[in-house]
Amino acid sequence: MNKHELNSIVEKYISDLQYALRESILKREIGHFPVDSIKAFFLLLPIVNEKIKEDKLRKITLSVGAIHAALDIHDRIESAQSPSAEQQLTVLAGDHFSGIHYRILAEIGEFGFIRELSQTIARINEQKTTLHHERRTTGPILLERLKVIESGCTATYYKTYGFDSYLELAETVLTFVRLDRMANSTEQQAFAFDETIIQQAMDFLLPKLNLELEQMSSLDPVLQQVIHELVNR
Amino acid sequence: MEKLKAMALYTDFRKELIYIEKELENAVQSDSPLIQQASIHLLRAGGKRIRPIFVFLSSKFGDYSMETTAKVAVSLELVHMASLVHDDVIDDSNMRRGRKTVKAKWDNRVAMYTGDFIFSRALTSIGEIEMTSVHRLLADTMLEICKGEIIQFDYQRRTDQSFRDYLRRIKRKTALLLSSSCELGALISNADDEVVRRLRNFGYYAGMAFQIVDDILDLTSSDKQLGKPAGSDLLNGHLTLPVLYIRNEPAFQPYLTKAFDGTLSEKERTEMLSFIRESGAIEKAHEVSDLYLEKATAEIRLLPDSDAKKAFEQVADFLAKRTF
Repeated sequence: MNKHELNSIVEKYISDLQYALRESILKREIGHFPVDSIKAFFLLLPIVNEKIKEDKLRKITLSVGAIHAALDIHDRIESAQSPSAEQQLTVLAGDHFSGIHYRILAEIGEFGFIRELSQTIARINEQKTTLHHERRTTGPILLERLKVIESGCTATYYKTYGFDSYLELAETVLTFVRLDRMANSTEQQAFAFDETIIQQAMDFLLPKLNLELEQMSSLDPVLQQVIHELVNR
Repeated sequence: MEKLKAMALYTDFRKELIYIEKELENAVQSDSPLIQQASIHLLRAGGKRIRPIFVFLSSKFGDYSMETTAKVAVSLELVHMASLVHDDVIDDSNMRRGRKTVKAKWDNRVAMYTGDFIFSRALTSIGEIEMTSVHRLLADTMLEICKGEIIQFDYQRRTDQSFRDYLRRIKRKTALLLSSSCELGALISNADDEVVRRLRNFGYYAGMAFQIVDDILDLTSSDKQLGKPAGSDLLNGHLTLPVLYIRNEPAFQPYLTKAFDGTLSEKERTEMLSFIRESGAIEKAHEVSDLYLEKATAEIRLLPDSDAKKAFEQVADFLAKRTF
């Protein structure tokens, strides 16, 4: 596989996901919603690395992508303000995406995964609520909460479908990417914390990240390269 | 008096309702104290538990199992609760059923996460049922409800709506979930196809009547009875059936304009409500609701005789005459 092929796979997935989530009024009013391409990459990682071409897994990854979109878009709701028209539709967009995730799994009868994923979604919202209200925390606690929020659904997918060997790598990189955004992005973040806490969390994570990066030998070289680029941005 | 009648009606399902309340409380147990408080706050605000009752009654037309039925009933009530928490963010509502909404007691973001949490618990509950037909129906219903909300948003503050637009809106807003409650109850107990169809139709017609009465009560009840300001639908930009009848009357239009642009004073709100109540529009809307209720009752009449059938007839009667 070369990088171009990998990009095409990820782009095709994102395009399929956007198609699955399409809704004419939402599109007209709030436009195209962004799909997190890094989360998409990690959802596809096992099937790309192992060259699996199973339609059922493709649908399952779309379902997880839909719930990622749902949970992410609800972070855009402002805490205290009366909602603008765009905010009102953002609430509904998240609910719509969430319904799509369930319908995909209902169609293919993945009852066990519906149960497992629903429990992860509950945990993610518990962690988000706590982070939202927590004025003070420590680096390690922040790290644990972000790990659930960022990689919980992907981890549940890996565990359910026998891709456990990718778990630690995905958890570590996805958490790192989020922390990095919190530290460096100019965009408004869903959760705001003092930079010393973020740095403390980063200090705890970096040794694990380095270890995971050293242990990627079972991955296709192109996938390894992409992961290195993700963490070195 | 009306509440007493309803309580008598609910006495027949006492065992099931107690079980459901317990299961609902179990379902919203959380490691996050805040989410738990917010969820319990919602649960304790009550509600008529119409959806669980419809599930239970419908499942009695087949091989009834309380535990299995409860999983579906809990799931539907949780879906309903989750949508209410998010609706309050959309409508910027501070009061529901006489209590502060989650968004008012905490904030919008807590309401969003609580709604998503409750929705996930609904899936955990129904995930125990391994029937594709059940999941497909619930998933389609949830998507249609959401689509209805999106369309409602699109129609917000628009006076050029037809009666058909209104009926389509309330179908998605309320009737579909009640219809699906009946159908799901019947499906999980493996009731006959004909019974499933009649129960689905009953739920739909009863749901239409229920929502029209709800829309009427929003205009005819006191703030205290509603637990929120009377006329909230209009204040939120939603045109309901009684208002459709009088929207073009010159004496009413200034109220409508002000209600929609948020400039209606308290005095004008009282005047507007009096105008509507005296216009004859309420009676016309009741006629439509009664038509749906007749259709609902007709479906029930064709079901096999049973205690559940009698209970459904009582429910239909209650829905028609309720004043809260």
